[in-house]
Amino acid sequence: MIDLELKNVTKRFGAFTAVKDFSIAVEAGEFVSFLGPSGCGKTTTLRMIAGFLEPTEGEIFIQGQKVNDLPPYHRDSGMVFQNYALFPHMTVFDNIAFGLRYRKVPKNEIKDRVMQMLQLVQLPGLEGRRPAQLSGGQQQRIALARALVIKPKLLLFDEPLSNLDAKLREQLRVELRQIQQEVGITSIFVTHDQEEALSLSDRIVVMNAGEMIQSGTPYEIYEKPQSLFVGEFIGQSSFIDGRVAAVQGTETLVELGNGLTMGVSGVGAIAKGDKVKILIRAERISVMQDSAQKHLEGRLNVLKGVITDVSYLGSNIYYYVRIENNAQFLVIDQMGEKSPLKKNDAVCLEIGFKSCLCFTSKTKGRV
Amino acid sequence: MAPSRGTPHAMGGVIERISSNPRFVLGLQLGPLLFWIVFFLFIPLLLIVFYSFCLRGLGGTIEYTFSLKNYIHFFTTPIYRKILVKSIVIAIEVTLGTLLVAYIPAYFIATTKTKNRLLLLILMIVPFWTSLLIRNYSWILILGREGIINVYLMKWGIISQPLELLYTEFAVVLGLVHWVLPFMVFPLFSTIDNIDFNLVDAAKNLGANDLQAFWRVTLPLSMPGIAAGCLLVFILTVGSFVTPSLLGGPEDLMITMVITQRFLTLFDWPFGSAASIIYLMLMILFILVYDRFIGLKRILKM
Ligand SMILES: Nc1ncnc2c1ncn2[C@@H]1O[C@H](COP(=O)(O)OP(=O)(O)OP(=O)(O)O)[C@@H](O)[C@H]1O
Ligand SMILES: [Mg+2]
Repeated sequence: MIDLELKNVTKRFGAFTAVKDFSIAVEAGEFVSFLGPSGCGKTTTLRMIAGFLEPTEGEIFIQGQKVNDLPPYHRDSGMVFQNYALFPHMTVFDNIAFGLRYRKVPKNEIKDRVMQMLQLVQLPGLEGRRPAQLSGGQQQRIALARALVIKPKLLLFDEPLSNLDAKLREQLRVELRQIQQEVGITSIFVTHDQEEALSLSDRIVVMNAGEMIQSGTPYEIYEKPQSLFVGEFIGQSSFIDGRVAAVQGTETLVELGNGLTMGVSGVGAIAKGDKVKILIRAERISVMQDSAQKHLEGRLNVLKGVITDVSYLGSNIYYYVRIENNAQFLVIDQMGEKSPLKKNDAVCLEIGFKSCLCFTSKTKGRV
Repeated sequence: MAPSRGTPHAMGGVIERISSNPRFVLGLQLGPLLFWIVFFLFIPLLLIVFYSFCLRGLGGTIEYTFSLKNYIHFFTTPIYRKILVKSIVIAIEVTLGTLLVAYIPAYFIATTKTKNRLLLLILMIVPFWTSLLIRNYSWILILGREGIINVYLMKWGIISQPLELLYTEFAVVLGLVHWVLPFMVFPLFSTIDNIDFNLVDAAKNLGANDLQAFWRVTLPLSMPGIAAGCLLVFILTVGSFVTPSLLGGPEDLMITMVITQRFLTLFDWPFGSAASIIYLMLMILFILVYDRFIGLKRILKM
C-alpha cells in the first residue's frame, strides 16, 4: 500500500522556486530520507506534507486521500522538529497527551498511552518534569513520543538529531530506527547528514536546488550515483580529470595527462576523446610504501605519489597523496596492524577498476 | 630606573590604585544614581510623610504638630473610600480594555513577514507625539453632544436624542486606553516576537485548530508580556489625572484628583500628603501582591 504520494509538487515563493516538480510514492512502513545540501527544499517539502505550506502546483495524497486542502490538524501526521518544539509551559505528561486531548481519548486511556510511550522511549518517571529540566536527548525522545502517541499515519522528521552531540546522535539514531521498525510507521526523515540517511533509510532521496536528483536504496546511492552531484555529495572521494583514450567492451582507458592512464569499468555512451571526471572513493584505494611494491610497477591503476599530509583519526587514517601529474588524492586507510606511513613517503596507490566511477564532463552523468 | 620617570609612574600608580579599588569604582558608577534618588525621590517623599502628620491651620497654613487625624479622616469618610475603589475599578477596566485592544496589533507586528516591523512599531507611538491634552480634547470633539458620533447617528436617524457619551466613565476608560496603549503593545510585542512559532505548528500538527493552538500555546506563552503590560498600565491608570478630569463626569473622581484638589484648591497640604501616602502604600501593596502571585523577576528578565 502507498501511504504517501507526491505528484509533480512544485512550491514557489514569489519568483523563487523552492521545490520543483517533485514526485514520490512511499510504501507503508517505509523509511525515506530526504538528503541534500542546505536550502535545497527539504524542509519546504516536509512542511507541504504536514500541511503548513500549500503546494503551488501538484497533489499530495496521504493513504490515498488527497490532502491539498486539508489543514495540518486534520492530516494525522506526527512531526518531530529540529529544536524539539516541546511546549515549555507544560509538563512532559501534558506535552505527550496534547494530541490525545483533541482526539477525544478518555482520560484513563490518555494516562495509559502516555505512560506506554514513555516506556517506549525509555524515559519512564519523567512525566512530571518540564522540558527545560530535560537534556537535549531526552527532549527529542519526548518529542518523538508526542508524535507517536497519536498513532499518526506518517511520521515526519526535520533534522531531529542535528542539535545533539555526536555520541548521542549515534545512539538516538539506533533507537529511532528500532522504534520505527517496532511501530512499523511510515517515516519521512529530512537530513543533510549523509551518515544518518545511509544508516536509517530504506530509501534515500537526494535533492538539490529543489529537485529530486536520485532516489534509491543507500547501497544504490553510494555505489551507483547517477550524477557527479550525488557522487560528490555522498562519501569522501577524490576526483581526477581525464580524456577517454580507448573503449574496449565494458572497460575504458582514460588518459590523465602526463603520460598516466587509468582503466575504469564503464558502460554507456562514451567515445574516444570524450572528457571525463573520475571519482574514486577514498576508502577503496589501497596505499603501499613505494619501495616494497616493485612487482606492481607499470601495472594499470597503480599510481605513484608522495604523501603530502597525514591525519590520524584512531580507527582510520587519512593520507593526502599527490600523484605524478599533480592531482591530489585522499586515501582513507584502515591500517590494521601496519604502522602508519609518514609525510613525504613515496607511495603506490592501487585502485580497482570497479571503484572508479566515471562521469562525462559534459552532462555530469555517470557513464 | 631613571628618576625622571618616577613622577608619572607614581601618578599612574595612584590612579591605578584608586581605579582598581572596587568600592571607589562602584561609588563612581552609583554616585549619580544615588544623588538622583536622594534628592528627587527620598527627600520629597520624606517631606510628604512629614506633612501628612501635620494639620491644616487657618487660611491654608500648616500647623506643625504630630497627629493621625488626616489618616483617620480619610478612612472614616465614605466618599474617599468610594473614590479609592472607583480609581481601582477604572484602572482594572482600562487594563483589561487595553490588553484586548493592544494584543491584536502586537501580535500582528510580531508575526508579520514584512521587513518594516520597526516602522509599524514607531507608528504605534505616533499618537504620543501630540500632547495628552490635545488627544483628550479630540475625544471631546468625537464624543460630545454635538460630536461626530452623535451628529452622524442622528443624521442617519439611528437615534433621535444625542447619546451621553462624554463625561462618563466610558469616556474616561476610552481616553485612558488610548493613552496607555503603547505601554501594553511594547511588552506584548517583545514577548510574542520571542515565541517559537514552531510550537504553534507543533500544536496544529497534533490536532489543535488555529483557535485551540492560540489558546493552549500562543496565549500562555504571551503571559510574561501580558503580566508586564498589565502592571505598567494599571499603575499608570490609577495615577492618571488629566484624562479623568477632562473626560469624566462628577461621579468619575479618581484618587489623584482628590490629592490635587487638596493641594491646589483647598491649600490643605497635610491632608493631601496623607492621601498621597495612602495611595503610595496601596501601590506598593499591589506590587508586592503581584510579585507574590506572578513574579516580577520573570517580567523583568524579559
Ligand atoms: N517562506 C519562504 N519565503 C521565501 N523563501 C523561502 C521560504 N521558505 C523557504 N524559502 C527558500 O526556499 C529554499 C528551500 O528552503 P528549505 O527550508 O526547504 O531548505 P532546506 O533544504 O530545509 O535547508 P536546510 O538544510 O538549511 O534546513 C531556501 O532557499 C529558502 O530560502
Ligand atoms: Mg530545513
